[in-house]
Amino acid sequence: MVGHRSSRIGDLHNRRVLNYAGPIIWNDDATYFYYFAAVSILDQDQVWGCASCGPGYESAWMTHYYAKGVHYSWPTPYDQGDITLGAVTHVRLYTGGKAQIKRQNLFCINAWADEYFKAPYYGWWLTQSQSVDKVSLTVLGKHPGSDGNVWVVLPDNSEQDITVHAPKQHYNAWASPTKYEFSISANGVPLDPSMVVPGADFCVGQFISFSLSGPPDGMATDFQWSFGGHYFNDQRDSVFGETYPTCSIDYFVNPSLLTSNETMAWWVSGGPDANTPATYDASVNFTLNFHNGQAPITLSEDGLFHMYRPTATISPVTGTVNLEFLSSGTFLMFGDSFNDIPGIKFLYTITYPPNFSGSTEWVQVVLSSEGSMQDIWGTNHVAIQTGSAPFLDIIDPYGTFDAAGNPNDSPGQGIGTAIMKVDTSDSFEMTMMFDPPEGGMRVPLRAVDWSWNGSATNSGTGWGWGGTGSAGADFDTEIYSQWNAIFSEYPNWNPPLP
Amino acid sequence: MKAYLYSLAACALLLAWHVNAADANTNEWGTLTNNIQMSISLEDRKEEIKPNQPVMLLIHFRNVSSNEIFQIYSIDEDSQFSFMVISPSGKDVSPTMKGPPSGSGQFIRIDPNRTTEMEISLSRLCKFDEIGKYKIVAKRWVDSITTRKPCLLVSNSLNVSVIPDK
Repeated sequence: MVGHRSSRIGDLHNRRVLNYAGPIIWNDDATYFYYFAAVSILDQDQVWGCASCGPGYESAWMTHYYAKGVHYSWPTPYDQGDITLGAVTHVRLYTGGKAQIKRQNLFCINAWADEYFKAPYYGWWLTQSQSVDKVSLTVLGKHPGSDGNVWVVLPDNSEQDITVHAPKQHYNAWASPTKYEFSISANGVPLDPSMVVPGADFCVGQFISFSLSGPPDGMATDFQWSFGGHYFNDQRDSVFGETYPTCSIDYFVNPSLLTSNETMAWWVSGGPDANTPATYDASVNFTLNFHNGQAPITLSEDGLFHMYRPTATISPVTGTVNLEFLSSGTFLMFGDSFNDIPGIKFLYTITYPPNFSGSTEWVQVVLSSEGSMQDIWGTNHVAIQTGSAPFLDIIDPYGTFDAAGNPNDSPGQGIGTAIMKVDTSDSFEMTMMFDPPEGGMRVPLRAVDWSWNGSATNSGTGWGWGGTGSAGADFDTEIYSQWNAIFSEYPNWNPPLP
Repeated sequence: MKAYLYSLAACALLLAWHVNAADANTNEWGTLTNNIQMSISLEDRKEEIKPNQPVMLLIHFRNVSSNEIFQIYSIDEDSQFSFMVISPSGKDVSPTMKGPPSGSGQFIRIDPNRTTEMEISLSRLCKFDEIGKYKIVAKRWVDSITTRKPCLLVSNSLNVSVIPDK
C-alpha cells in the first residue's frame, strides 16, 4: 500500500518547505502482501510539550492531512499574525497477491478523521481537534459504517486510492487497511485456485472435508459449495420402508449439506489410470454480512485438487452347464463340482495409486431370474421371487472366493422329486469395489454382466441336459450396485411343487 | 458425517475357509464317518445367548484321511443342512426342510488332513426365545470326490442356554 501526499502549507510570516519521505512499507514481501505508504510525509506542527518538560508535558504534534481555505488571524497586540494553510494527501493501496493471479480479496479499511480548530494563540500551540463522524467520511467512494470500517472486495495486483475525505476544511485522517485472504482447505490442506498444491492428492472413496478459512468470525453466511467430478455426500435406503441390506443404499448429493462453511464428500470418479489423477475444482460462494450496516458482499473462492482412482480389470472365465447327482440332491448347475471348476471365475487385477492403499470388495446382484419345473403329471411350476429385481445375491459383500482370492460362482437349480423337466435362466452383475483403508467409503470400479441358462429333461430312461453361460466384457463403472430385495434361494413356486 | 453413514456389514454369512485340522476351534466332534466328521459350536465357544440374539453357528468338517477329498455344493445360506433343535421344554422346534434351492452356489472342498470351517446364522434357523437349554444337532450330506460316494455326517450335540435378558 502506498500513499502519496502533496502538501502545501503557507505561512505569511514564515514559509516552510516540506521534506519528502517514503514510501513507508508495512510488510517485507512486497511481491505478495499488500502495502501502503505516503510518498511525502504529512506535515506536522507541535501543539504541546517539550523534550525536557517531564511527565504530562511530553511533546504532541498535529498533522495536516488536509486543509483547504484555512485562514486564521490573531489580531491582538500581543499575539498578531495570519496563517493561510493548504494541504492535500493522497494514500494509495497496492493490493498485492501473486503475479498473474486475478483473485479478489476482502479488505477492511478503517478510516478516521480529526477536525482541527483555530488555536487560541498565533501558530498551532494548543490547537484543539474533534473526531469527525465516521459515517460522513468517504474512502474508495464509500461511506464507512459507524465503526469507521469500509469493507470492499479488491482485485489482486491493483492500485487503489484510499485517501480519506472528510467534509471539513482542516483535518488529520488515516485509513488502515486489513487484507482478508480466503482459502479452501481439503482435509487440512489449503488449496490454490491456480494449481494443485503438494498434499492436495486424494483417492476415490476417501472422505474429504472442505472448509473455508479467512472470513472474519460470524460474518460469512449463505455458503454454496460446488465440486467437479462425480461425487456423493449422503446416502439413504433405496426402497422406502426398507433398510439395508434388504435394499441397497442410494448415494446422492444432498444439496442441504453443501450450505455450511464446512462440508464433506467422497468421489467415485478420478483419473484415467492409477498414476494419472483427475484435477477437480472445489468452489464455494458465500455472503459477507457487516455489522456496521454496510450492504452484504457476495464472494467466491476456488481451489484445485487431484483425485486418484485405482485401475482395475476383470477377466471372467466361464465353465460349463452340468447336471449333477449329489448326495444332497440333483442339481442343474453352471459349473463342475467333481472337477472343482466353477461356472464363472472372475480373475482380476487392481493397481493402486501411488501412496494409496486399500482393498477390494465384490457385490453381485441378480438382474433377472427365471425358473420353471414340470412335474410328472404335466403341471408347470414357475419360480417367483419376493420383491422386484434386481436382487442382492444373498450377502454384501459377496463371499465366495477361490484359494487365490478370485470370486467365483456356480449357480444351480435343485431339482425336486417328481420333476420331469427343469428350465432356468439367471443374469447377474458383479461389481468390484475399492475399499479405502479407513476414513472412507467403498466405491465401484469395474463390473461384469454375465448370465447362464440350463435345461434338463427326464425322458423316462434318464436325464438329458444342456445350457450355457457367458459373460460380457468388463467395463468401468461409477455406479453403486442397486437392489430392491434379497434374492431368495427358496422362491415361491406357482403352483407349489409336489 | 460418519455418524449417519451406514456400516456395510453383511446381513448374513455363509463363509467357508480352510484351517489345519489341529487348529480347529472345537473339542466336540460328531461321529467319524468315512474319514470325515463334523462339529458345531457357537462363535467364541459361547454356551449362553440372550433370547433372539443373533448368533453365528460355527461348523467344522475334519477330513482325517490322507488322500480323500470331500466336497459340499452349497447354494443356500443354510447350506442344505438339516438341524434337529429341541427346546428347553422338550419340544421339537427343528426348522422345516425347504424345497429345492436355486441361485448362486459354491463348491466347498475339504482336503485331506484339513478342516474346513463354515459359519451360518443360528438365529435364521429358528427362534431361540424360550429360557433354558436348547439341544442342537446338525446333519449334512457330503460327497467324496475321490470315491464318488455320499456320506451322511451327524454333528456333536450342542447345548445352548438361553438366559434372561437383564
